[in-house]
Amino acid sequence: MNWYCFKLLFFLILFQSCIETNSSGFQFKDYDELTSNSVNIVDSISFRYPFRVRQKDTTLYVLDLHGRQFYCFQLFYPNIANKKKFASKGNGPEEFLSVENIRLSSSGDIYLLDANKETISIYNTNEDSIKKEIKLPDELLRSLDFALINDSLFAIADYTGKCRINMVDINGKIQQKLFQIPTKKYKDVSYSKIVLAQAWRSFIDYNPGNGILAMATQLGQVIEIYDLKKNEIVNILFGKYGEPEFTNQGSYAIPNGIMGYSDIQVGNDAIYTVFWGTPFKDIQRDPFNTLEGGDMIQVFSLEGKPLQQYILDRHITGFSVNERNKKLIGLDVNNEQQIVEYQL
Amino acid sequence: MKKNVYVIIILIVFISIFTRINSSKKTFLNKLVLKNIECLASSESPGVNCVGIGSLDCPVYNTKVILYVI
Repeated sequence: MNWYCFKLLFFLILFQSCIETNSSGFQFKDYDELTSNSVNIVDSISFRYPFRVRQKDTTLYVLDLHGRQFYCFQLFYPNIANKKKFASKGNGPEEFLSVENIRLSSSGDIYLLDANKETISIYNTNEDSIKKEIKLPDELLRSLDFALINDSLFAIADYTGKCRINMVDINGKIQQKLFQIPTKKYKDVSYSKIVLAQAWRSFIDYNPGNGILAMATQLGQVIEIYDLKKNEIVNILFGKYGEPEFTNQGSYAIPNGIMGYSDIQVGNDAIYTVFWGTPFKDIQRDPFNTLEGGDMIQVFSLEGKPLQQYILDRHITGFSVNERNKKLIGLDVNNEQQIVEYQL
Repeated sequence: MKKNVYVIIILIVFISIFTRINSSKKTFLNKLVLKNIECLASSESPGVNCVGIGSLDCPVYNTKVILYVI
């Protein structure tokens, strides 16, 4: 009889644990604290809101999201000095209403996405004028990030919510629509797909070497990993904060959870992300004194296993990791010295 | 001994039922609040305030802000 009672007790405990549905999400075993190295800045360099940085040999490309006259800056590296400004602000020909991201191709061209003009512009590194301007398909709605699949094919995420990734060719035609927003929470809720896509706005990166495309949500804590060579989902990772939290008001997704990721890089062996974890409650309380950026670099394997977490002494918005020398260049909008470097 | 085991079992059953009722109550309340907000919002176009300069896309004015609220 006693044995029977204990068996019953065991199943009841199991039942109880099943009722608690809050999963804790992925976790990192430990973390390393990193202090920024001093960077040799020769010129006076001041951006309004540096958001993306790319490195090509001894040149850095910085995207200033709120640039005063220009959005993009070419800098000498490692002794940082001004080289060239480009992508001027304006409504005229060869001018930009906004720049969401900057990409460098293997052939040395520079690609810029303007969500407001709905174009991708291609610059040759050595020339000042635009080589080609691609008008994005009309059926896309606010294309907020893109990745180069090759010199003539782009992966674009937009607000229509009809699919997760649109594959658009150099002529501005959609070649393929891939995957769906991986929501578990709002699957059966009758929100418009546009509202869901707003909440699930994500940053993208692709590595042509291994065919992995990864996305990180700006709200919440979700990492999506896709294998574009096999056209399959590798893993969808939900962190402690879970999927983006929002309320549907009018036709807008009003965020009420946390600011999550703001940049992602798919390396040869790992995926690097910067995570904020700032609750909107805190931002609403004091929006102008909350630090912009994240102080956590989270590293995952290409299969989605959490590998390492670094806690930085600065909050950064964007970064670039050089996997050969394990150096990370970060962008800090909160301090006078806006370009920082870390040894991973 | 037997008595104690029965007491524990009864306790666990009660806790399980209580947790379930409580969580479903919360979901119901959240849905109710959400519905009310949606009703209020749909009756007129919401006045969205976009605050500061940041990296969050304000869907109303197509600019990047620190936050946007209604």
